[in-house]
This record gives sequence, C-alpha cells and structure tokens, in this order.
Amino acid sequence: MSTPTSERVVSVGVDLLAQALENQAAPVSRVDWRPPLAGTEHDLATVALDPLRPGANARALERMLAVQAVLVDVLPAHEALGLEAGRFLHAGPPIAWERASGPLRGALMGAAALEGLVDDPEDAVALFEAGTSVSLEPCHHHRCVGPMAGVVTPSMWVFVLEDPATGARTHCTLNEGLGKVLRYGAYSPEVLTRLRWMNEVLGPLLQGAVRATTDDGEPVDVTAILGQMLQMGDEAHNRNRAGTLMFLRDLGPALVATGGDVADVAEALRFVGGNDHFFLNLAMPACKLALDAGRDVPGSTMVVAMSRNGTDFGIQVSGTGDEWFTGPAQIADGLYLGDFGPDDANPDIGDSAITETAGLGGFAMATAPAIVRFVGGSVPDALATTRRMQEITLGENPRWSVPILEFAGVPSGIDVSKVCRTGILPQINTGMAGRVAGIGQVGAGLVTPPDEIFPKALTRLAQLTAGRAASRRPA
Amino acid sequence: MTTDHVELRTGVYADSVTLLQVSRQVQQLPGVTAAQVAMATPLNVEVLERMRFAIPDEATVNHLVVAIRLDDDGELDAVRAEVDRALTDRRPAASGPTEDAPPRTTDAALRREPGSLVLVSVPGPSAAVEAMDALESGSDVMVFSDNVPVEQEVALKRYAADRDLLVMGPDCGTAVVGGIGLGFANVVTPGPVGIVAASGTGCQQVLALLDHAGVGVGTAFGVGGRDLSAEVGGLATRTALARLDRDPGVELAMLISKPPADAVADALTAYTGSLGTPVHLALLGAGRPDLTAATEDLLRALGREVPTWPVRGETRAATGSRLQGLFVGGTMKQEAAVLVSAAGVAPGAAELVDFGDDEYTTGRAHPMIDPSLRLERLAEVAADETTGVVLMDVVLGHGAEEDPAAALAPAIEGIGPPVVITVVGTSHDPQGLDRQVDALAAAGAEVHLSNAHATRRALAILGGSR
Amino acid sequence: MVHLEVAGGAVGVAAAGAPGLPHSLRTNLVSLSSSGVPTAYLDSGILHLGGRALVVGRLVDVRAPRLDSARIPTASPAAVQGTPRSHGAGLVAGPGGVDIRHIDVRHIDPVAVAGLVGRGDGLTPFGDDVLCGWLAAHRAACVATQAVDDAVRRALPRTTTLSATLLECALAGEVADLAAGYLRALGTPSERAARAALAALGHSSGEGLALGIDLGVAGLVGRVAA
Repeated sequence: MSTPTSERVVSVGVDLLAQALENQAAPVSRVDWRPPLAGTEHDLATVALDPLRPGANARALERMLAVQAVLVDVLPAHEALGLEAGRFLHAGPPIAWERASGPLRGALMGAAALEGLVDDPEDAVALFEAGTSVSLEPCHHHRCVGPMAGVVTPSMWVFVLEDPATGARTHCTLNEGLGKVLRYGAYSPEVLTRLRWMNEVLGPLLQGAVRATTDDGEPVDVTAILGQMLQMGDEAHNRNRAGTLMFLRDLGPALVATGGDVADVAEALRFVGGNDHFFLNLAMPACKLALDAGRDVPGSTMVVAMSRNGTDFGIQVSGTGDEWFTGPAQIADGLYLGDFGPDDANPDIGDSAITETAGLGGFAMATAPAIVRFVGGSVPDALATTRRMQEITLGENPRWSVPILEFAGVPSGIDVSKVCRTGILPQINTGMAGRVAGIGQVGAGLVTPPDEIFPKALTRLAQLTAGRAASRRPA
Repeated sequence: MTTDHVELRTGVYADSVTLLQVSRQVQQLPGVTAAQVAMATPLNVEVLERMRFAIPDEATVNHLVVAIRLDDDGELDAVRAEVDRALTDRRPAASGPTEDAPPRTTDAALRREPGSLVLVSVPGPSAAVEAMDALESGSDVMVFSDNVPVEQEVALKRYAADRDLLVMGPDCGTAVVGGIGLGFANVVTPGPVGIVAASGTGCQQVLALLDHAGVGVGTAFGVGGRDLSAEVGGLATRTALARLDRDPGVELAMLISKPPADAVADALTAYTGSLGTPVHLALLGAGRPDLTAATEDLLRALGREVPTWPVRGETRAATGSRLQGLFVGGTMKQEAAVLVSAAGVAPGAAELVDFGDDEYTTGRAHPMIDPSLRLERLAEVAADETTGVVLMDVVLGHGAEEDPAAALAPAIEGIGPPVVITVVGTSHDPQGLDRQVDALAAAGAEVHLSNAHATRRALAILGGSR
Repeated sequence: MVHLEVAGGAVGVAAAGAPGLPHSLRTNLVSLSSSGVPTAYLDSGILHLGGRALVVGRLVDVRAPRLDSARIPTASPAAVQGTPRSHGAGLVAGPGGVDIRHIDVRHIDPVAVAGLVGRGDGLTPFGDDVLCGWLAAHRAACVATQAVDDAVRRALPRTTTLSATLLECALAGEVADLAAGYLRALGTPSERAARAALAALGHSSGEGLALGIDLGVAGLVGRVAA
C-alpha cells in the first residue's frame, strides 16, 4: 500500500477537471481564475520565474513589518529637511505647474504668501509660471508625506518620526483642520493666519511636549496607536478619531508641563482635540517609515508608495528603485456633501494613499464599518473589501489586526504581479477635494489607481529580471 | 424568419469547456435555432462568423460573446435569462455573502488549504504563474495546460528540483496520485506498479492493460512530453522515479516515453540503475516494443500471467486501399504510425490524424470531451471510396465524455468500410467499459483493448484486400 | 458515518472528511445522520442514499501497511505492560465489562477468541475491536494467524452484522484509516499522536483497535524476521 499523500487538490482552470475530482470524492478547492490584465501574460511569467522574487518579497515585507514608528521631535521644515526658500514640496509624483489642478495650485499660492515670496497669493501665479525662482518636488523624494495638496515649505513645522532600530526618519506637516484649509487649496487671509499661528505657537508647543516625552524615555509610539485604533473603529485614512484622542491622551500632560502660556496650551489642546483628522498626519509618516524600509530590494514586486498630485496617480515599487509609474488620477465614487456633485470633484489628490499601501485605510475597511455609510456602502461590502485586498498582498501585519475577521492582520505588501493577475486594484478610502481651489472637501468615497500603471511597473520589473538573467549567462 | 441577437459582455470569464456546455444548453431551448456563447478569440469569432453572426469590431479576447438566433417563437428575454443562469451555475460558488468569495489565485487558495496538490489547466501563457504559486507554497503541481514555452518549463522544473517538488507537465493529461485520478484518468485498483509517463494516453493504455491483467497501479506520474528532451534534461522524470523508489508500496516502476535525447538517455540509464526499485523502460518508437509488448514484459517481471488481450465483435473485409486512422490519443496515433510504417505501408496509403493535436484544439475542447470534429471526419472518410479500413481509439475514464458510444455507435452503424476500435478503459471507469465495448461491437466494429493489436488487425484487414 | 445492511453484510457511508472504515464508501457529502436518512436502496449495483446515487469514482487501498521488524519495538508497548490503566477501556474492564486480564500478551489463541467476539456493548463490541486490531498488526507484519482466523470465522454469528463485516475485513487484512495511520507511525516520532487519534475514534472502537494493535505488536516481539 502506497503512502497516502494529502488528498486535497486545488484546481485552477477548466471546471471539468475539478468536477472529475469531485466525482472521486476528493476534496477540491476551485480557484476563480480570470485572464490577467491585457498584455501582461509574458511579463507575469518572466517575473514569476525570477529566482530572486520570492526571497526579495519576503525580505521587503519583513522589513516593512518590523518597523516601529516613534514620534521623536517636531521641527520647522527648513531644519528637519534642509528645505530652502523657494522650494516647495507637494503630494504625489513629480508635476509641473502647468499640469497642476486647482487645489494644488491654490495651496502653492497660499504657501508662497506664507513664506513671504509674495504679499498676495494671486501674485504667486506669475512666479510659478516663470518657474525660475521656485521649484516643485514630491514630498516622497524628501522622506516626507502630505495629505491632499500636501504642500510643505521651509517655515512649516513637521512631525519627525523615527524607527529606533535603524534611525530612519520620515516627516509630515501638522493637520490644519477641516473646512477651508491650505491643503484643499484655500489661501484666504484666515487660512494664512491659522498657518502662522501653527508655525509660531502650535509647533513649538508640540516640540516641547514631544521632547519631554523622549527625555522621559516614553515617546509616543505611533505604530502602537495605529494597532489600537483598528480595534476602535478607525482605519487611519478617513477615520482617525480614536487615534487623535489617544494622541491627546499621550501628549496632553507633557503639553501642559511645557510651561507655555496657559491660553496657548488650551488653544493647542482645543485645536488638536477638535480635529478628528489630526492623527492622519502621524499615521501617514508612520506608514511611509514602514514602507521605506522595504524599498530597493532587487526583484521585489512590492509597492512602496501610492500617491496622487491631483492630476496623476503614481506608484513606486521596491524592485524598481525611485521610478514612478503614473496614469490619470481618478474621480472617487461616493457621497457628496450638500449639493455638490461629481462635476465639483477634483481628481484624486494626496499622499494619504500611503495608508492603504501599508495595509490601512481602504484595506482595513472591515474594521471601520462606520466609514462605509460615509462612502455609500454596506457593512458586508467593508468586510468583502478587506478580504479582496488579501488577494493582492504578500502577507498580513500581525500588529495591526481586525477583530471582526478573527483578528487577522491587515493585508500588507501590495504585489504588482497579483494586481495584474487578478485585475483587483487597491481600494482607497478618500476625501474628495473641490476642483476649484479653496472650495474645500466636497465629499468622500472609494477610488482606485488607474489600472494601466500596474502593467507599466510589471514591464519594468520584467525588463530588470531579463537583464539580470542575461548578465548571468556566459557570453 | 429568424432574428439574431449578439451581445458582448465584459468582466465575465469562463473556460472553453464550460462555455461549450453552456452553448449546448442554450441550443436546446425552444425557439433557438442556433446559439454560441464563447470568448471572442480569433478562432471563435471565425466560427461565429461562419454561423453568419455579425460580431462587432470592438470585440476582444476579454469579451464574452453571446450569440443567439431565434425563430418566430423564440423569446429573447427568456433565452437570455437562461444564458445568465447557466453561466452563474457554473461559477465557483461563493458559499456565503461576499466574505466567502472564492480565491482568485492559486496562492490565495493554498493559503486557505496548505499542503494541497495543485492542478493547473489555465491557458498556456498563464500556466507558469499559477504553477509557481504551487511550488513556492511547497506543493507539487500538475500542469495540464499546453502551449507553455519550454524556457518556462525549465525554470519551473529547476526550481522544483531544488526543493524535491514535482512538476507534472506541461501538457500532462493524466496522473494518479495518492489514488486520485487527475486530468483524464482511469479508475485503477491500488497495487504494486508505479508509472512515470511522458504521455497521458500512453499511460492510460498501460493502466487499462494492467487492470485487465488484474495488476494494480498505486501511482502514475505524468512528466509532460518534453521532459526527456535535451533542453529539459529529464528533471521531472528524475524526481518522479525517486518518489516511486522511496514508496514502499511500489515493487516495480515503468517509464513510458518516446526515446529520450541522447544527452539525457545515458544519465537516465545510470540513474535508474542506481535505484532500488526496478525500472522498466517503455521507450516507444521505430524498432522498439509497442506499449502492449512493454506491458507484457512488466507482467512477466512481476511473475504474473500475461492474459489474452480481449477482442469483441467482428468486422468486414477492406473496402478500399487506404487506412484511415482517427485518434483522440496522441500516443495511440503515434504507436499506430510506428506499426503502420514498420509494415511497409506506402505513405499515401495511410492517413493517421490526432484530433487532440494543437491545430484542432485551439479555442475548442479536446476530442475526448467533444467528439464532433472527429465524427465529422468519420463521415467524410466513410463516404470516401478509397477508404479501406478505419482505425480509431476511444478513451474512457474521468474527464472524458460520459457515453462515447452513444454518438459513435450510430455513426459507425452501417458504414461501408470495416472499423477497428481500441477502447482504452478499466473495469471501474464511469462510462462502463463493457457497455461501451458491447455497443460498439453491436454497431459492427471489432473492438480491442490493445491499440497495438488493433493496429495490426487493421493492417491485416487492409492487406487482405490487395 | 452511516451503516447500511446490504446483502447480509454491512456497508458504511462516510461523510466528507470523516475517517474511513474498511467497509465504507468515502463521500464528499457534507453531513450524514442516521435520524435524517430517508431511504437507501441498491439499483444496478449502485447504492442510493437519500435519493442520491453513490457512484464509485475511485478505489481506495484499505490494506494494512507493511510493518517490518525494524519498527516492532523490542519491548511491549506501554499500554499492555504493568498495571491496568484507570480510565475507560483499560485492561481490566472495558465498556460492557470485558475482562481481558486472562489474555496472554504473547499470543491470542482460539480460546481467547471465544471470550472476545461479541463481548461488549455498542455497534462494534469492544472485544471485536480488540481482535480487529490484533489481526491488523499481524497482517501488517505478514505473520499468519490460521488458528485464530478459523476461530473468529466460527464465532462470527455471535456478534452484530456490522462487527462481523469488520472482522471479515480484518481477516482479509483490511483496516480502518486511523488504524493504518497508527501502524504506519509505529516506531516513529508520531507514534503517540497517531495512537491518540485512533483511540478517539467512535465511542470505544478506537480504543479497542489501538489496544488490539498493541497486544498484537507485543506478541510479535522477537517473532518477525529482519
């Protein structure tokens, strides 16, 4: 009698063969296979058969999951990033003024006034059109991320997050709040007044508090807060309420103990506590810190950044270095505030998709059922979305788990190959900015990257794989 | 008066065999004079246009075409509803709400059920990707798909060899692993023989002969037709033989293949010599023993009696000078071709066709599932005055059509030329071996279990006419 | 597992995933329960259960796996040494009060058979299960047991139809899946886990089979050629 092997069979392909197995009472799992995205078969095979790939992906994922993001400082951007006058960082892949959308332009104009390059924001248009004294660069190129327009200039204060194990750092500006704010392209005097207050009062107060926590050896552990948030109905992109409150709880006493003016401290506490999205600006750099650790592993198909500038949607992949693969940013599908409609919405904008890239936001939707009504879905949709994202990720994050899915870790490490194979696109929960600068938020909904960017990235990965194989063969 | 209705659907996919079955279902509906549900591959579009359906230009291979021709009584809505129902019935069902959606890749399936064996039958260009999922997860994989480039086969098998995993295929149609028949496989009694085969139908012929002889087969590994080529170097054959050698239940192993490339042959001989389990090589080709002879050798080595291979029915004298061989099994056709050529038959006097070959099966189901193409050819051959004898094979077992005799017996009943048929099947095959043989014999064919014997008989009949 | 009486013998039908017995069909039916089964009948040699035709699609090898001398322990298994165990199916008294203290561990003889067949409660009396296990061990080791075989055959009318069928399977060297698992695991690191899995089968059947195998193996010590 031969040694029995496992009886179970996974059948992928012709249903007849699965049926033949069932007729033998053999347990069969059928794969619901569909053809891959058009034109990707050959590149998929090249990448699948790359000997480097399995180990590279394991390494990239492992490095990402091992990162702990701790809040170590708050500094002005000129100090933290070496940002000089005339330089502007923005969300998304590289873009020139000519192609920038309303909200980004508005934010750049407001920021130019904030920095004193012009008195009236409207005057900044000429500055950017000339382009000689100003430069635009992605936040991502400077270890930084920014929500919505994501504009960062030298005077703006930024959170500094660090991974204690490696000393690696990422940064993000402080969240201005809701309504008419710079990140939505508003540049009215009240916007600038608020920004100045944040630079002059909020930033230094937060710095004092944060430094006190690091001195005490108990810095704010952003990674840990993210883990707890998921148990409390936040997904860290569109819902950050619990995170904001836990941040306040952790930092509040130190804030008071800075000895700053009582009225200022009170104002700071009110400002932070009154903004349910405040924690987003900590969640985002924490996610970037994790993903940056997974960068630059040759042969890895893991996505390390997803980002939009209001015109283009771009991704970066671990195995392809700093290259951006871009396509048109989409308009989200969801619910509109007031009597806004799809014509009022700007295409997708912001670095906040870094949360989805790290397994949060839309990927963790199952843990934030409250969010689904806001985005026009039903509770089973939320669970199904997180499960669907499992199809396109390399693994799960055991530190960030979803109670209702029996504490499964959030799906982590988007795999370019799997996206091309299944046609399942990463699901992003997002706010929608108004097309016209300064209107503010017009709604919230679900959006995906344009599908063409994944085949582009795959082709590049295949080229690199073929190149390595060619250089291995004897001449 | 008929009206045509053609629609294109996106986001829907089903394999060609499933769509064939759906098309058949729809064709039977009242009011439907013609119908075809198929992916818009160039071949299928050609078929549809020959049926005089007008296919929109924008149709691509990712579109599902639903083409229906209704007569006056036909109701379009009812028919379309039936099409929808037939398509959803055949989707892998989600058992609950969307939480339980079926896995979309082999990797996802293996995460839910680790340790499973994997059977890949997706279109060739996508097969290697699914197979890699299996190997990465530590699972053996059978690649039923053909049209897999040889470089991909080599890469898969090298990866597998490093991890003591087995890649069966590509183009592997038959395997028996852990007692379970995979692909087109016959129901076998477990026993002391282990098989490694580079050919599916070759394996099936041996399984059938051994079953008749009362000898059981514990395991049959397929290795794909190219494994013993110089490029692939016998990687899967080695792993398969090693597995059989390690299996305490296997007393004797048999390797079925056409002769390996010279470079591979020596290494293979050395390897089989180093194993504890005796390995019988059944390498088929000119001047070598046929499969039946090789099986007889095996039986003697096991100390078993060689039975008289069964023949049922009688057929007529030759009616012409040409031998027409219509085969569904590639190795059956090859074995016949070797015997025909060895008998000195002039090339023009014999035509042997393998309907399972790529040129006949692109975009349509294999003839073991869909016999229509061969039946068409049979009618032509029967009407052809030069036809002297018709030689065919019928392969039973899982995966093959439920009742091949149902269509074939009427087709051979009353035709002019004599018909010799090999029915490759075991006593427990679902089609019922005896029933099939009886039906074909009753229709006037001479029915054999051994393809080699059937071929010799056909040649003898042909020779009798000269 | 459902047991059906067919032509004077028993045929089992196992649900998906249920461990098979040597007389049973294995199916991928999700659940079976005696109370819920309406009818069963034979038609043209095919068993129909609850209106469903159970067509055989595959033959499963249920023979006892080979047990070579290398895996027969040099000392008797713990289960049959020393003092009786205190729980349930122990040496002294099993379900139905079967007393097997008098059994000589070195061999079960036709007299012992008379004391075992049909003794104990349940669909398969405990004594029968012990005998099945004992026979399985000997078949696995290819050691003939002619006298005991004859005694068992003579005693069959004294037990249930199901148990008689299973004893006949054992005489033919055919065993339950979990018993095959235990036999395969003897002398390997997974021996204890495999015995525990077998012992958990049924109410006491598994424990009886395991004990029978242990008794059989104990009797084989020193008797099997290398």
